[in-house]
Formats: sequence, structure tokens, C-alpha cells
Amino acid sequence: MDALIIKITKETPEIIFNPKDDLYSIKGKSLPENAVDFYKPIFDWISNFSLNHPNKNIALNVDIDYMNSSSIKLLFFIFNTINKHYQTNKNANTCINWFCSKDDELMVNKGNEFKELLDLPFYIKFKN
Amino acid sequence: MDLYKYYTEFNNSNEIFILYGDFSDEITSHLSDLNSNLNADDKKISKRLSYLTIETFQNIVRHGYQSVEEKNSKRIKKGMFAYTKVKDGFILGTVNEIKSEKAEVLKTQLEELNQLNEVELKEKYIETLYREDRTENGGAGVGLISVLRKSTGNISYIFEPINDKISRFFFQSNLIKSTDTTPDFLTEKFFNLMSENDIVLFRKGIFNHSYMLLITELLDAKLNVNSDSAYGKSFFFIVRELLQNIYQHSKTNNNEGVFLLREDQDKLNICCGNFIESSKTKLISTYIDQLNSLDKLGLKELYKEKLFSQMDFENTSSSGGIGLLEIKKLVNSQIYYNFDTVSEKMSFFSIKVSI
Repeated sequence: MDALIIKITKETPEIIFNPKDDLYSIKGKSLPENAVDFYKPIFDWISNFSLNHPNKNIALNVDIDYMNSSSIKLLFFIFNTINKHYQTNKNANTCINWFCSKDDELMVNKGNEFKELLDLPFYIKFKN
Repeated sequence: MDLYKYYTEFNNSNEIFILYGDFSDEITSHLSDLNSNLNADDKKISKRLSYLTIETFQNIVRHGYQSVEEKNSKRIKKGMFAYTKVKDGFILGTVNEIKSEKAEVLKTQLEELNQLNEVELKEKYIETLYREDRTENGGAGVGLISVLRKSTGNISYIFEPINDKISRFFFQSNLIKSTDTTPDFLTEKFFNLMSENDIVLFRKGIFNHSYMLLITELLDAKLNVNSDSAYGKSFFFIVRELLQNIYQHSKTNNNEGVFLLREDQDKLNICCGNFIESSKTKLISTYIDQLNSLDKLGLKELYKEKLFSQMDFENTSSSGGIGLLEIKKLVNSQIYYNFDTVSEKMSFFSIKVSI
């Protein structure tokens, strides 16, 4: 399956979904005007990948400085797809790594919220 | 909350932007960016508006009264800056404090300049440019003459003594197509609105995504809020979400609304208002009442329910539907709201969050 690479902008994060290099990453700020338009292609990609490669690992690295409420919801759709992928084969290397600053209370709390809602390995990793 | 009252009070102004409080040079570029987001139909007017915005704002920072304590730190001046779009053009107004002795000199200068025609103003401009006796702020009056040259008609102004040493200077310049009528002196009305209600920023008009981003950048430069702190991140999250609500849910053609930021002792009150279909008021009030009634655990459960129950891209609104819930989770206080009936089918929805 071809990689999905979307360049970073002032309002949207960099997306790297590259099965060849085993690299899955969402990094930057997320305040798109229309979150559905931005995140649906990413959701579609991860859904198709999971369907066609049920035994592959997906270790998603998430490093977001800021996100608006519509981004939160749609990111959750994506995380839950990876959650279901994990449930299918319980592959030990499928997980979500949530990167944030230790001092960033909002992002630490958001990470913990997602961790509680999902049922897959979810690691909160401090950047400093 | 009087957002609808403010909306209707300035009925003749389609767009209003007012900033009040402490100003520094840092804000200048943000004001210019906000201005360029406005639709001035005429390119020439647009350029003049841009010039007048920067020049009139910088007059506050350059020439406003500065107390001795502030002199050694960054140049910060108290004042007000406003622009408004009226039927035939634009009005720009500023208010700042000046030394009373300086007020007398300025009054004489303005009286003289207002008497000059276009040709005489140009001559005066050139004469002043080459004059050697520049003021301690380096302006030499050139800025003032430039403002007059780029405006239509005379400058309007008032000097109001505050005490025996300081006066308040109200200044208004107009960019109006028709020179038959003299616009109202709105600057004083705007100042009264802001100062009597501790309002830091007031905006009536069109809202969109770009404008939301510009407003938050301006507030980041103006306010004494560290945008990297927990409080700062929460504050700016709420500002963005409430601004988004205006242009995503407003039921008028132009995404019209009102945004207001008010200082209330140790809190900031963030208020937004927009038009909605009257049929939606019950749904909104039920939802906000529910949010206000829930404790932390209740909010958590509702959050989980909303995230899992609406996993449908086709039916997901671009706003996501969890904005108010996210806001409620951040603040330890009630979300206040109000509906004003506009017509049988239309209401004005106002919301206030304190942080």
C-alpha cells in the first residue's frame, strides 16, 4: 500500500503513514477549518491498511501541540481504528505513543483521557 | 450579558473592532493583518485604511502619556483603538492620555490643519518634513499631517482633562465616499462602552476561520497571558472554540456575530453571540443546562458517550459537536447563555465563559 504523506502547515499537522519504513506519525498543530476534510483521507487510509494487513504492526506516534475540538473527535476516530486493529490480532507492537511536554497540563490530560477510553497499549512519553 | 444590545446599539456600523487598555508596538502588525481581512471593495480605500490603521495606532504608542514608572521598561501606553465600517466608508478612532501642556499645542496644530485644503496640506507636509525642530518623539507633526491627507474631510477631536497634568485626547479620522455628511463622533461612544464595562476587545461583524486565527494572535501579543502556561492554553482554547461557534453556527448570510472580552477582577470573561434559528433554542438550552449540572465524573461519562456514539463521518458536523463539553471540562464555573428574540424564526444566542 502506498505511503500517505501530508506536509505540515500553520493549521494542520504533518502526517506520515509509511508501511515500508514502519513509520506512522502525526506531528504539529491541529486547527483545520474543516476537520472532516482534513482527517477523512487519513481515516480511510488507516481503515484500508488495517483491512488489508491485519497482521501488520501500527505503532502510531502522536506529537500535537494544540488541537481544536473537531480535531479531537476525528483523531479519536483514527485512534479507535488502530484500537480495533489491535483487538483483531493483539499484536504486541501495535500501540499509540502520545508525546507531550511534562509541563503541558492540557496535553497530558488529553493523553490520559484517550488512554482510558481505548483498549490498546497507549504510552504517554514526555518530551522534556 | 448585553451582546444583542451592543449589536443593535451601533446599527449603522456593519463592522466594528475596538481594542482598549495597554498597548505596545508589538500589536501594530496584528492590527494591520486584521484590517486586511476586512473587505474594502475599493483597493485605494483599502490601502489608505491600512496606512491609517498603522499611523493612528502608532500615535498612541509614540505620543501617549507615559508615567515615570513605565519609562524604563517597554513602551506601554493606555488607550483605545477602533475602526468601524459604516454605510459610505470607514471611521478610525483613537483615545490616549497626553500631558495637558502638550494638549494645548496639539489643539492649535489641529485647528490650523483642519483649515487647509489639499494643496495647502501637501505644502505643509513638505515644509514639516524638512523642518529641523523635531519633537522628542521624532514625529514632528508629519504623521498627523499624513493622516489628514489620507482622510476625507476634517479630523474630529476632543480634549478632556483628567487632572491638572493629564488630558484625554479623542481623535477620529474618516474615509467616507460622500463628503456631504459628517459622520457621528463614534470614538467617544466606543470609549464609554469599553471603559465603563472593562471591555478589552469588542468585535461586531463577519467572522471566519482566518479572522479567528488573527484575533487569537492579537490577543497573544496584547494580553498578559502566557500562552504556554496551563491557564493560557485553556484560555486560548476557549477563545478559538467560541469564535468558531460563531462562523460555524451563525444563521445569517455573512456569519455575523459579536465577540467581547471583558476583565472581571481576576478573571477574563469570553462572550460570543450569533444568530440562530429559533427552533434550535430548546435543544441548545437543554444541552448547556445538562453540562452545567454535571460533576467531573458526569462530564467524563458524557464525553465517552459522545466520542463513541457518533463515529460517522457522513453525519459528523465540521465542528465536531464536543466543543462546549471540552470547554466545560476546562472551567470550574457555569456556562452562561441567553436568547434574544429577533423575529419568529430568528433568535440571537449569547454565551459567556469565565476563566
